[in-house]
Amino acid sequence: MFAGRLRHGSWWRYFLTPQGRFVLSVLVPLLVFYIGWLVYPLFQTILGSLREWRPLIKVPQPYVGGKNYLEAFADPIFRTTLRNTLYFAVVSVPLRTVVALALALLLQASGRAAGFFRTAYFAPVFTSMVACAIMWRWVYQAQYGLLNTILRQIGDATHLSLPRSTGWLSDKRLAMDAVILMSIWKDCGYAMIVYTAGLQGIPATYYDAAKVDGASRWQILRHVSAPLLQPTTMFVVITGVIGALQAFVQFFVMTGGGPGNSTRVVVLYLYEKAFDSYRFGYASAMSVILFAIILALTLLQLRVLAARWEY
Amino acid sequence: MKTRASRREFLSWAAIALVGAMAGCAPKAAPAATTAPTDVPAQATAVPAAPPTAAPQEKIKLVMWDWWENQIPLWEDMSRAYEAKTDGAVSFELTIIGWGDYAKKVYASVPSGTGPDIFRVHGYVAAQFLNNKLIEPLPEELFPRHVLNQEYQGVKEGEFDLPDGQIYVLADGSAAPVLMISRAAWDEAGLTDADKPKTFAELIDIAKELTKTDASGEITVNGFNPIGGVWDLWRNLLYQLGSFHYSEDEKKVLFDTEAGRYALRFIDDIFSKHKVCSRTALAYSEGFGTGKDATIWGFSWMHGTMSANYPDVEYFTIPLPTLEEKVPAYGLKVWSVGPVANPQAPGKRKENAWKVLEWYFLDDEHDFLLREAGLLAGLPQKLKLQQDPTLLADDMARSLLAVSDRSVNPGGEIGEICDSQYRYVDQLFVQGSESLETTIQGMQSEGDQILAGLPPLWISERKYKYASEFKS
Repeated sequence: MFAGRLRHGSWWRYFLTPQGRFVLSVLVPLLVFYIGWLVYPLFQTILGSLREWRPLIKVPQPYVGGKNYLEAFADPIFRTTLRNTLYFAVVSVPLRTVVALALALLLQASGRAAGFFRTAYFAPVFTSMVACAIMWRWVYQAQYGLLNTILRQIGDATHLSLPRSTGWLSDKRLAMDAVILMSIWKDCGYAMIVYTAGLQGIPATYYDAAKVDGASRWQILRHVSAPLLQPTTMFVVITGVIGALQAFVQFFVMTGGGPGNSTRVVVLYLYEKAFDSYRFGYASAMSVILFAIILALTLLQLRVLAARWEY
Repeated sequence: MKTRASRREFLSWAAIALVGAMAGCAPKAAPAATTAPTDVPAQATAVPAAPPTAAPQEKIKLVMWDWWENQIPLWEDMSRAYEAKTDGAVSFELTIIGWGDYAKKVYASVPSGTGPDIFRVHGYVAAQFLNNKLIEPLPEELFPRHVLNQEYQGVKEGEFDLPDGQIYVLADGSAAPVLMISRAAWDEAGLTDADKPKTFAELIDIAKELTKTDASGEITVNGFNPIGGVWDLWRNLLYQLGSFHYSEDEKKVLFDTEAGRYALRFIDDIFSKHKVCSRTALAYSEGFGTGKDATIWGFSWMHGTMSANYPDVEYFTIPLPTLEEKVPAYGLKVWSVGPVANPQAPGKRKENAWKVLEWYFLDDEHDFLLREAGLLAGLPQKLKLQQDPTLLADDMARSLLAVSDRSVNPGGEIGEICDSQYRYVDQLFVQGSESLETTIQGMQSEGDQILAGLPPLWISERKYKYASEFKS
């Protein structure tokens, strides 16, 4: 009915009908929330990025145009945070995707134990990121952390020369990868559940046909499961990239951006500029730049990862 | 009985619920009190008895903010004493805001007029508070300059003058670096009072005796652990070497100097040459309190942290050793800047807030300043209290008094420069990720960049009494 009215150009009359009024009454609260908590703040952020916005000073904030953006691109620390953020996304998302798919496939084959393992792998997802980050900070502690303790004991037992007191979070060459590992552990359970649902949506007839044709497990995975999971993969990758580019909590808690600036990511840096230095205009400009990057990458992924197979 | 609602009824209830939810999300005017962390520098707050200040029939309850929950009993006593003095006219309520949020909440609330009547200012943010007009000068009629010059250490020398020449804050205690030595480790090594080190060379020798390793050579007990504040130790060493931190025009930092490089080499030797500490040791009281450090250096406020977190650990303190037998300064003296009145508080409330503070800082009838000093394990800024026998019964206070005259008050800290030093020295240099060259040049260049973007600051190191003995 709505489509018909749309074609005839009198779409607004639809909302005068009883059905239309019901649809409107459900949509309006959502729209109010969306506009009030998302669109309006985004709009204000963009406006704020064009001003020298210092909230502690009562005088009107002067309009400075693109000065904050130019400052951001000239700021060596901001460029470092962009590199760190992109590295985090480029490394963590593919690894997370592969691990999640592997776990989903194993779950599919684990029979009655699937329920237990599904809960176990999903548990980190519903645990607070702050709690996980604090725990992992101690796992990585150089002298008394769990990881180094295990490595020392393995080394002593096997006489292999394994690292004994590596500063996983205090060595700038290792800190980012250590946080990536923690982030994958925390988040892959969610992607695993999505993949599990995706696998369950593939009709069994495809697998039966492949087995009849004598396909091996690897061939089934490569030629049946993977292509048909493309929509799922697209969702997992796109949401993963969006989340990775906005990562903050684990960096804030585990490393504070250090050692040096080796784990300082964009969101952490703009938080510091906003709430430590009280430069809201500059922080707004950085957040708009990040928004533009996320939008561009998302559109690119939508084009590249679009499903080519249907069943 | 009707068990299903019609569409109209459902929508009506949904709308009511939504309106109720949105009303519940309305911003609140008053900030929430939270618990304070235990490892931040605490400040002494003693409250002197005050003369009646408000009209008897007008009751005023002032709101005070602080970040250290250990202050609560002291301020409750103060409130009771002051209320008694004013016949119930003026009392106050202490709200603890966690250190992590403290400055942010002050920044947000004071300009908007919703802030406390009295709030504590930490030296770390004093310059920022001043530059953002969150504090105002001490009223001359209540805090006559000639009285402050006489009674408060450093005032006569101009150490508390902010760039406009006025005094905005007074301190209620000072903290200085000290060496903390585990009694158990000391006794086990058979050391005596005669072995207490006065120079760093002596400290290193002692630390070698106190260091323990396992069969594979890994250090299990650090003889001397500076981790957590290596950057802070480095800047103390600059003063010991007679080198100021800032140029005279306050436009540049003085880090890439002979003294700066020497101090970094000395620090590196602690780990690589003398091997009295692991580069990955626990920081501050975590290692000391759990028996993994025999000696640590730290600011005297750590006394409070140790008492709170590790009350069973026995230790003693001595002044921080020196690089040479005779030095122009032992190091920094960090004043625990005290409470101030909110310049945006409405007339009567601000007037009463200042009178409370006058009572607190200048009245001699109470002992709250002394109690605060004990709580902070610091020295009171008020000169006559520094010789109090109850204060000097604690070896921490005695250690501080021994070096107080020869410690430099740097003024208000510049947080961004401290962060830069921490990143370079603690996170990169000590961990072996950066060489001495890149560390010192990085700190110099970042420090200069930060200073270039800042308005006039509270830097008082060149007002140090013995500044003429410095080389830079």
